[in-house]
Amino acid sequence: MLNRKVVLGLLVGLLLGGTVATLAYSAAGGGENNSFDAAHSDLTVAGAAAFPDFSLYAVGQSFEGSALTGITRRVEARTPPDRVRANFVGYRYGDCVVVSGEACPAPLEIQVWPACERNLSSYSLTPAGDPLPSERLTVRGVPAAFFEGGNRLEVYTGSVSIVMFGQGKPQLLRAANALSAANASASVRADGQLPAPAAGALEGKLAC
Amino acid sequence: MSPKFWTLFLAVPIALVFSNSAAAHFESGLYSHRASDCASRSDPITVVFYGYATGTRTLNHVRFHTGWGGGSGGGQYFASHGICGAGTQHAESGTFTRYHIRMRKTYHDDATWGTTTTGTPHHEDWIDSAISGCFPGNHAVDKGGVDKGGGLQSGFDQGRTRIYNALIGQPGHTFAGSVNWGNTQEFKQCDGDWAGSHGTVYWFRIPNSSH
Repeated sequence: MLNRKVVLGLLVGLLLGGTVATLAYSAAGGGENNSFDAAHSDLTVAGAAAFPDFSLYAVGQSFEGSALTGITRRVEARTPPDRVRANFVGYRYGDCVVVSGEACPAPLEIQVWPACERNLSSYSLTPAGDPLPSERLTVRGVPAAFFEGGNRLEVYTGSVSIVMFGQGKPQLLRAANALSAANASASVRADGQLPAPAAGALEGKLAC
Repeated sequence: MSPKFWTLFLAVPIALVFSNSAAAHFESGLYSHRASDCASRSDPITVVFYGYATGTRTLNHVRFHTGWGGGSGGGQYFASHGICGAGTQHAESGTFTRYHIRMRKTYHDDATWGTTTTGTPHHEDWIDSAISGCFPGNHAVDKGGVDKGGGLQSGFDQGRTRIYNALIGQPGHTFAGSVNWGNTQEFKQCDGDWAGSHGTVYWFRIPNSSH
């Protein structure tokens, strides 16, 4: 027979966990808006708010007129000789129109990866180790870097890397300044700064 | 105009071109594009061919080792060294659901890597006109997802793996390694799904000969 204290503890834990997830869900802006494409999403806003694997950050229900249109979850197989795999939650803001079968990107996409699988030390341009061109900066008190000529901004906080694809430096910096916690394990300091990167995260020494 | 003017007018640009070429390093955009402005991303680059990788020779080797068809042209645009140019080669395993790659040689050679060509291999499904975005029938790269042990990967990751399996161990096709460019932006397909790469780029040598 199960110990009553254990059962009670489990119930309390579930209740508290649900409360925290609900708070994060509320902070993220509640349920889906009318533009949310549930048919091409892997998570709902509520599902992302309850996501347990790592901290999530997004910019709420919309950003500069572009609604949250979808949330992607990718955890794919690692095939040799790859050292990396897709492992992220992605928030899409806005939409695009496919013309003649040619694919297109969302105006803003925010991917959150575990820092143990993607971080500032992950990249090189060539097998000889030439660096991938980047521009270092500090965003909301934490290390960050522009890549892809300013169309990709990565923000390194806690145990995650927030990878933002957009339409140039000004837009991406505004989006970075609008980032908020999107699940229970994510947090923003009272002064608006993001938590410092976990020890070893930037150097690729953080264990998964 | 004086002869001296014309000498300078012609000689300076030529000298600049050659000095840039001699000093050039590998440089490439991380995606192919829909339009000639190279500001309309469409597919992630996931392979670089090096050594003697002119467009024509690279196409020859890709076709020989994959058994795919293909030819010149093929659509989309690639950027390198500040130049945006149309894809010059393509290869595919069929007409409908298939593997497909678009390629273009980078503008300058590199002292270490020689002549380089970049490519965007992928697996794509044929979607018929029942889905309005694909009317009257078009291709959609496979989306990724959550692997449940079956080896699930996006169509871009499948395409890279297909090139790897075709070239690895083949004489003259040294695999220099995989690097992470982090070009993981996802792209909307005609069926409404979103597909992207996991960010890795494979480097394969193309020898100074053709099949």
